[in-house]
Amino acid sequence: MNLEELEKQVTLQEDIQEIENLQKIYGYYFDNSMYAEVIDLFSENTESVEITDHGVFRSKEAVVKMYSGMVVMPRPGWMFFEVMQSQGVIDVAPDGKTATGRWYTPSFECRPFGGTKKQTWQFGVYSNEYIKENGHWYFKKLHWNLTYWTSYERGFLKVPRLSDTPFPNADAPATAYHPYPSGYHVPYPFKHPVTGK
Amino acid sequence: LTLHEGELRQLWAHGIYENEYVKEDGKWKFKKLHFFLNFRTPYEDGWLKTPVVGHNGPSLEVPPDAPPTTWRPYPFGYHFPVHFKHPITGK
Repeated sequence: MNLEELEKQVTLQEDIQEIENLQKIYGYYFDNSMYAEVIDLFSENTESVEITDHGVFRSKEAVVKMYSGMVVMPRPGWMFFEVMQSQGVIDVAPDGKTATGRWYTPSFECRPFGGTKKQTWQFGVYSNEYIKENGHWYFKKLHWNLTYWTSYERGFLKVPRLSDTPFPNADAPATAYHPYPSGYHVPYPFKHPVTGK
Repeated sequence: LTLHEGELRQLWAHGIYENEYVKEDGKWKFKKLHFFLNFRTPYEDGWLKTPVVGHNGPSLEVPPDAPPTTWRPYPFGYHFPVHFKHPITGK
C-alpha cells in the first residue's frame, strides 16, 4: 500500500466513525427533544426526511418545519422515548462525498393515549443518506421505517401499530409505510460484501 | 432475575453509561464508570407499572465512599447530560 492509498484508507475509516457518531448523537438529541441541535445535523442541501407515516418533508426548510412542529410542552417525567441506534452498516461512496447507513431501532416509550398512560415498544429500520460538506458529515436524507408500534402488554402479533400519525403539513404522503405483518423488507442500500451483488 | 413481592421475577433493565477512559502504558482503561439506571422492571409489569425493583440503595456489605450523585430513575424524567459536543456547531 503506497502513501496515497493509505491516506485514502485512513480517511475512509474516519468518515465511517464520524457518520456512526452523527447517527448515534442524533438519537440522543432526538430522545431529549433537542430539536435545534437535531436540525443542525442536517445539510443545507437536505433531500428529505420521512418518519413512519408522517409523510415526506423535502429540503432543509421542511426539515426545520417538521422538527420544530415536534417542540411540545415540557414533558412530565413519565413521558419518554428512548430509541437505540443499533446494528449500523455504513457505506461511503468511492468519491468519499456521500454515504448510506442502515440501522435497527428498538425503542421503549411511554406516552398518553386518550388520557391514559401507555407503555409501548416501537421497532423500525433506518435507511439514511449522508453528505460530506466543509469537512463535516451531515444527514442528506433520513427515512425511518416502522416495523411495529405496540403496547407493552399485548405485543406486535396482537397489536402491530397503535395508531396512524400522518402530519398534515407534509410535502407528500409516506413513500413506504408497510408495518408488521406486511412482511415488507426495507431494501438494503449496501452490496454483498463478498459477492459484490 | 430478582425477588419481587416474594416471587422470582424476570427483569428488563435499561440505562445509560457516561464513562471516562485513560490510556496508560499503551492500554486503554476505565478511569471513571457511571451507570445511570432508567428502569429495572419485572417483565410482566413494565416501566410504567413498576419502574425499579431489586437491590436499591448503597450496599451495606460494601459501603460506598459517598452516596449516589445521580439517582433519578423513571419516572423522574431526568435527562442524563451528554458528554459530547455537537459535531457541527461544536457547542
